[in-house]
Amino acid sequence: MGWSPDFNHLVCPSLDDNKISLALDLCRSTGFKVKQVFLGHVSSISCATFNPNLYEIDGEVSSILAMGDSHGVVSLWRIGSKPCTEPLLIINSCNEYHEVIEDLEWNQQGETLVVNVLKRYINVFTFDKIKFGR
Amino acid sequence: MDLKAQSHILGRHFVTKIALNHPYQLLAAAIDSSDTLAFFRLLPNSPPEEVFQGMSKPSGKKSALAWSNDGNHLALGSSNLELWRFDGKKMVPLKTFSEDFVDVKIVAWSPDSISVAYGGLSRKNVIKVKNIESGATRDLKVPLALCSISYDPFGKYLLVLLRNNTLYVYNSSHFVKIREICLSPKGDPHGNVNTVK
Repeated sequence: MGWSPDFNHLVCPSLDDNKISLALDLCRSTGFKVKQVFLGHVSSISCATFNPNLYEIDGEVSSILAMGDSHGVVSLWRIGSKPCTEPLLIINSCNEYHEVIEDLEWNQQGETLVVNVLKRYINVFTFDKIKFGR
Repeated sequence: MDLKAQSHILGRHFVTKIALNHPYQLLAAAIDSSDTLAFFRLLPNSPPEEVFQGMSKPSGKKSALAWSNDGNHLALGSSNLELWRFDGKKMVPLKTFSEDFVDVKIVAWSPDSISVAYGGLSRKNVIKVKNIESGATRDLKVPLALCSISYDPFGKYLLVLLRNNTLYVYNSSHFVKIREICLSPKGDPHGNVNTVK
């Protein structure tokens, strides 16, 4: 489970992923009602973590969410006022399937994402944070 | 948008859990099949470097790792719960709590860094919330096996995800259940994901 930097969104992967992997964006200010559903990962979503910073792009404030799955795939999503329909970026963190993304950690500056591939290695991704917004 | 990432493989360790200490920019990593924790300095615009290692007590697989929000304490879950303090340069072991758990798999700190909630494999389906200043422990009995725990950022709620794919929202001070939120589409007779009781 991951909290957004404005403390209003809790993203929680669903455990019921036999048919489709999904994660839910629960809105704290509306009593944890579902605001949107994230679809697209082909295997179980194992972790979800927000970038600790808020970004402004095209006059809109948004946050950046990272999710990892059990096939070594990491997706980045922009969460703003409008529902997002596709990820910003998809990263194949691993060379093989069945490598589980166990943990994701953003640094405080929001430019580095640390990916723990269970019992394999730690992968450190560095982004040009200007691309996330100001 | 042309967003790209540069990647860098960190160290040569096989790691089970990581946790990042934001105030000190220190990454803790529990090494598989050992009682060693590796600590990496993660500064902006420079490659991460391993700064020191620490030895935990021999207690089996390290299944949970979490820093307190103030960055001063690290909780490590294995067959018991270990608390460490970071003095700015090195890790100092504080206490070990041997409880009823076979394996402490989940650890979450309260936002004020005073309480740590933890749970894991146990017949009793219980979450223990320990005040690290007074040492007092409170138990929260839950109906099923645990999957995840999180405090809300204001410390008002304790959110618990259970095996039935339902998120239970408790008041963190009285442990009164406020809501059950089913995260499964089939949990709702109408087929909606959003089921709030």
